[in-house]
Amino acid sequence: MATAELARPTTAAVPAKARSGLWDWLTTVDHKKIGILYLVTTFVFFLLGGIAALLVRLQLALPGSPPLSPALYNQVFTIHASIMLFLYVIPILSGGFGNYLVPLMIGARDMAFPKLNALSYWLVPPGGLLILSGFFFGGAADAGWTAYPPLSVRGPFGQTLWLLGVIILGTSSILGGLNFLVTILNMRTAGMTLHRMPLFVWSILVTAFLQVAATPALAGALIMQLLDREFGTHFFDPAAGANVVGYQHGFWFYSHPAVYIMILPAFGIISEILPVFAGKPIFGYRAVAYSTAAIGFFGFLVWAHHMFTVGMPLVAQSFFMAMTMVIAIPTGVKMFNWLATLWGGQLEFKAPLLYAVGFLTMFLIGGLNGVATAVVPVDWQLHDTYWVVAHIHYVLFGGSTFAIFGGLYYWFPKMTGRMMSEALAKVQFWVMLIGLNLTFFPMHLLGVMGMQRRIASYPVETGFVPLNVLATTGAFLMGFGVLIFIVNFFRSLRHGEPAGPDPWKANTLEWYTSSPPPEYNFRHVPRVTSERPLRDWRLQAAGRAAVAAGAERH
Amino acid sequence: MRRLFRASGLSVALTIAASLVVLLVPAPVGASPLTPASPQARLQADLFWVTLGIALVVLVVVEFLLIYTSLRFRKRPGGPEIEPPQIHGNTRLEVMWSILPAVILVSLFVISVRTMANLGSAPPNARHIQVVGRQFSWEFTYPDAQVKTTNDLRLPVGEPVVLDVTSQDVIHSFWVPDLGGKIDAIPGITNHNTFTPERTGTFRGVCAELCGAGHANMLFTVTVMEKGDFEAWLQEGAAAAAQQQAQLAAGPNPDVGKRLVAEKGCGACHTIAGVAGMEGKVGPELTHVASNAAGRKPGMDAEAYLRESIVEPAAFTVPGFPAGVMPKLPMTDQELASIVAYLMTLK
Repeated sequence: MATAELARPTTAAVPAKARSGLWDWLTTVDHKKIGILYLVTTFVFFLLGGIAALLVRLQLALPGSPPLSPALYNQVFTIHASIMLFLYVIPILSGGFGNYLVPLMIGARDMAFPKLNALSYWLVPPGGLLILSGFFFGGAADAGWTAYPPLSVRGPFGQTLWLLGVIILGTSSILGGLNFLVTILNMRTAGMTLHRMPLFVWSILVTAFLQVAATPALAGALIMQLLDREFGTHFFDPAAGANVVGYQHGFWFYSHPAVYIMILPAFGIISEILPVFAGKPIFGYRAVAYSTAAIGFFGFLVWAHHMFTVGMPLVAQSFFMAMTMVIAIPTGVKMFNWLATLWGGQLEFKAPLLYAVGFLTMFLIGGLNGVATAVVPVDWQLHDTYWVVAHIHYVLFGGSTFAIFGGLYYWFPKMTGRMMSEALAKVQFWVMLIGLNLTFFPMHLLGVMGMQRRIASYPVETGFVPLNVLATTGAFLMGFGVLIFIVNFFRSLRHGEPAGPDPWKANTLEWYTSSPPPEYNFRHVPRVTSERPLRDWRLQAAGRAAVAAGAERH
Repeated sequence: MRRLFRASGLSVALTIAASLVVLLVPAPVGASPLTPASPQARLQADLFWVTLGIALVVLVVVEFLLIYTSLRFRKRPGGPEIEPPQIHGNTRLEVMWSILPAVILVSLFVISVRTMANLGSAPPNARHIQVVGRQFSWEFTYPDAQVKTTNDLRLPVGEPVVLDVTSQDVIHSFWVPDLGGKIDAIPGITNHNTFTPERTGTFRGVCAELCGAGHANMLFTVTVMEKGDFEAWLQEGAAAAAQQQAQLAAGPNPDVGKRLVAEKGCGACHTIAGVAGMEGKVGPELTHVASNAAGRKPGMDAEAYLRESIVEPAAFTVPGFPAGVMPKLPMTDQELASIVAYLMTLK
């Protein structure tokens, strides 16, 4: 069946004086520019967090002559995790991809509250600077990103700076979540019911709810810690009769839903990419949408599975074990729906699909090794070992980060009007896939060999050295992969092939407008009648063209 | 078609093979949850193998399907531009693949709860040992015999023991992988861990919760002995403890001081050349501390300086070393006098 070029309302050329200068970027309230600000800022933090990771790996490969003192090492891994979670994964997905795409995908002109949106972004750099500045003020935070008291209450001044920084970043997250909730629930274009909106938008909707509902719990726990540190209170002072485990409950009540904030938008990206590159619709749209909501709901009921060794009653531990296993069900449903989307398709292995399939294979490993830690008696052995480090990195790198790279390759043409190099993208993919597995697979073994987390060195007699050296090699390979991406990015900005509005023959509204879109996004959006509006309009145009061709022959 | 089966099956098989090869790297003796030396650790290890088995089966099946699908349904270059069948879903299939994982997980839950019940609690007359974690060593007290050891837990084989675990400063975690799961040592709370060592030997113990700069150094050994040897050791220890009390009361004693320095866990952070167990690298080396001490703080003689650095560690940090790391260890005046007497011999 021939498909004619879909007619789009013309968008006016951008007049020269309206082109973006520095002042425009600093004062913009345009969701697309704010999204790009988020993407660039969080990617820079990703690089900083990666450098910290390489320092950690160097330390653990050289236990006989570690480069960092134990005190400095504790700061480096604390900052590594803090950057990666609070300054990269969370803000890149919701602030970067979410901001850029959601208004476009629902056919809106901008977010419901554009100025609030700008505020959300501008809270991020100061939050990040506060966290990092500890190094210059006598020692950065050094109690882990989890910051358990009493250790965290005793830490250097950088811990206070860290607390302030994270509270600011949490505020940014809450404001962003509010904005998405209002935007998605109120500003969808004509015909776009909740069951016709893109699954990425569904994922941001649930994520936004988590941000708004869970982050205040973290703020509570951190403010109490801040008051103990700087204002002489005794919330977490055992000498005053306090139960320090209370902090852990407050912290994890947020930080468990937070990991769904870190993965649900990634799931959304996968749900966008697979149908386009398989040439068929997502298998089980409603199941994928509802399982997202189910994960969001049950995500509030599992937090104490991070605390199985604190001495809780066994009944409580069994409850949290049960809830954790329950969450595996909607997650598994998604995996099968994605697999079924690919099955029977016409798979075009361009970069976005390569990363999406990489996501599926790697996230599966992370999900399954998580099931092992869900089993309470097994977790009593695996908790606080390198098995957990393997789990978190398979889901956050093999999962979220692979989805992020897939999304970057997929939407770079929309944002810049140019295509990225497929050849470089493929090389990067394989380098990173191999690097990921070399780095984190051995950690399963280190965990069951008894290697605890967060140690600055270990006796050589333990036998941990060879696997650690392997992991360090893999880490540098991953770093090399990231460098390839940076090269691809800059080359494509200048020399990439022009993309046009819809280079991938996609389904959703962001591809209806030009690449990059004009400031107002759409001059007019026709009524939406399914969850794949662009495909519908393409087919209609082809139908009209066939009729016209038939009419001409007469 | 067959080629695709082979290709994807081969890649999955290669991955499994590689993993197995690495898995078969023998774990070092005395440090792994998978070399259980107690019935408790054995129950946990068995449950681990069951969980791992289920996970590996799911992994192999789904990874195979993913790779097979990716290879089989690749678009042929130069093929016709037709859309594949636009399938939106299949309710029966979706219900099946929701129910099957649920059934597997419910079974796993039941097995796990049963294991938790079997791990149970010790008989009421079991021996209790007090475990206190502190930055950066472990103190074990045998209350009946008044014996205290540091980083050296001795147990009689075949007898259930209950460890009453707490901390005197920050959260630590007591973990001997061969003997059972870990339990956190939390200030203000006493947690209980129980196991029955079933064979003699030496086992590695670690601190498994980040507790500061010396976290990696908080290592201890567990020595499981024949009952007779254990009783003898306990009696010797009780006698030695009584003798030490008498010596301390008689005045500052450098030999007692040397023993106290080891008991209080100073070796986790400090090195004294030639002394076993004093190999820490977190704080300054103490091999010649008596000669260095006089020059550290102007106006303070060596003895006064040494006393202050133990009683008020935050008052002064030797340049080049991290501040705020050395904890204030509880000690009596008599103990302090003997420790300082010992340190003053290290010229």
